[in-house]
Amino acid sequence: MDEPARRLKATITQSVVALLTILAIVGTLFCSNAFAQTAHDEPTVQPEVTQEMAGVMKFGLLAAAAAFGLGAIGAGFAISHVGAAAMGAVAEKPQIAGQALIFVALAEGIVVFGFITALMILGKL
Amino acid sequence: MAGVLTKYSFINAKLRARISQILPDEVFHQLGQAASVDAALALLRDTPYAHLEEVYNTSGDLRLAELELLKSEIELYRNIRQYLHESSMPLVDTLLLRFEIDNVKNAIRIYFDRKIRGRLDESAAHYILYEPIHRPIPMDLIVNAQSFDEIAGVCRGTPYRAIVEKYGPIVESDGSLFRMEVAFDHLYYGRLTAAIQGLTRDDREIAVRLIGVEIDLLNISWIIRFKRFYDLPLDVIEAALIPGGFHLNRSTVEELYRAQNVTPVLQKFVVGTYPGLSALLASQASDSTSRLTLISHILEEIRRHEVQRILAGYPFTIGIILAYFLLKADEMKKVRTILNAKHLGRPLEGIESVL
Repeated sequence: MDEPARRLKATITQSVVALLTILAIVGTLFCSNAFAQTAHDEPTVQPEVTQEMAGVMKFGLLAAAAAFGLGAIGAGFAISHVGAAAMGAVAEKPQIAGQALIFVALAEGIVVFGFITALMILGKL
Repeated sequence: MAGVLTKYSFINAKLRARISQILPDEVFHQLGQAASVDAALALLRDTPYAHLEEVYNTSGDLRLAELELLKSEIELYRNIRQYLHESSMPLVDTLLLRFEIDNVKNAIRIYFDRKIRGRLDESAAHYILYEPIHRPIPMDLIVNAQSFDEIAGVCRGTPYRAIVEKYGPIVESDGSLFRMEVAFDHLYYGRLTAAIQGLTRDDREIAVRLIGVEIDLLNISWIIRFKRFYDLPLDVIEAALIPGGFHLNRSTVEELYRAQNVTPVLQKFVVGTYPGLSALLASQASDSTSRLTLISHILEEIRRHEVQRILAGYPFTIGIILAYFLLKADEMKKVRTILNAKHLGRPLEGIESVL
């Protein structure tokens, strides 16, 4: 195996290991929060939902769905082009794989913004 | 209709990466300094031209290595073609047509030398491509033909038949292939212009500019050569010129034809469009051969300017594909020139002035 191909393989392996590590950490944190919440057996009081609040909630949920959904569609559209271009360039010059992945990640950022916006909207409801 | 991103994001990124791998000037400088063809080929070992060494070592024939280089160039177009959007394919197919036309012209030259001029050069037939490039044309039948009628029959179903039928008797009476070869060139550039017209507006503008500069380049060299070496009258030269040039108009053609020294005319032509190049024209060449070399340098420089302009501009156009083809053809031309110069034992200064 030649040097650029070996470097590409090492970069991919490192990226996968880093991703799995982050997923493991985030997963552990969220799971412990969930168990912590279920540990309290306090009775919850459901607030009375007025018609006005229901309307706000309805549009709020729709806005959250749109923020995430459109963000995901936008990211998909962007990645289809950026990813194709990146793979085209990496196939010719494997040493630019790291730089190419940055551009794919930038396109991926669109869905993250959508996700955060959706979370912010849901937080207000 | 597909958007520009769908058409060009993948292929243009791929070609940009390939353009960055085109051999730099230092490599050509080193090649120029190599002691022999073998040494030059050894320097090309870690490049896409490594296979030339094997061909040369096996056959000891540099022309076969050149033929191999030509095959690589054809393969380059085919390789790019497979990644293209269908709207860009006709243009690349037409660019590929140039190789077939050149191959047919070479085969007809062999027939002409053997049959009409009565010169027998058995080796020439080895440097023709016998594999189909665009259409399956049996080249061996053209090379070994007994008449232009036979060649026309071999070219049945191709646009070359009409040219051979029309110009065959003229070639026999003139004793020169000049008119037939001009007709072949007109056929190619006519097809190319038609293919450019099929592109979208943005792509068309870029292609017209780039191909137009190439046509200008060809026309200027033709005017100079036809006048200096064949002493042809202006109307014959005008009829031979390829239409579709980007800068060259009728008055410039006439001026170029009448001028004893064409450099001032070219200077006027260059100053308006490419101010950076006037310095090159300021250097005066004494004899007509060095003037011709200087002019071809200037025209090459104009083309390089256009390619750089495209590479620095909006990336989602057909310009990147055309620029890649031009840069790659330029690289192959340099390799070919250096190897030939080494083979003929030309001095380093001579090689560098050509590069």
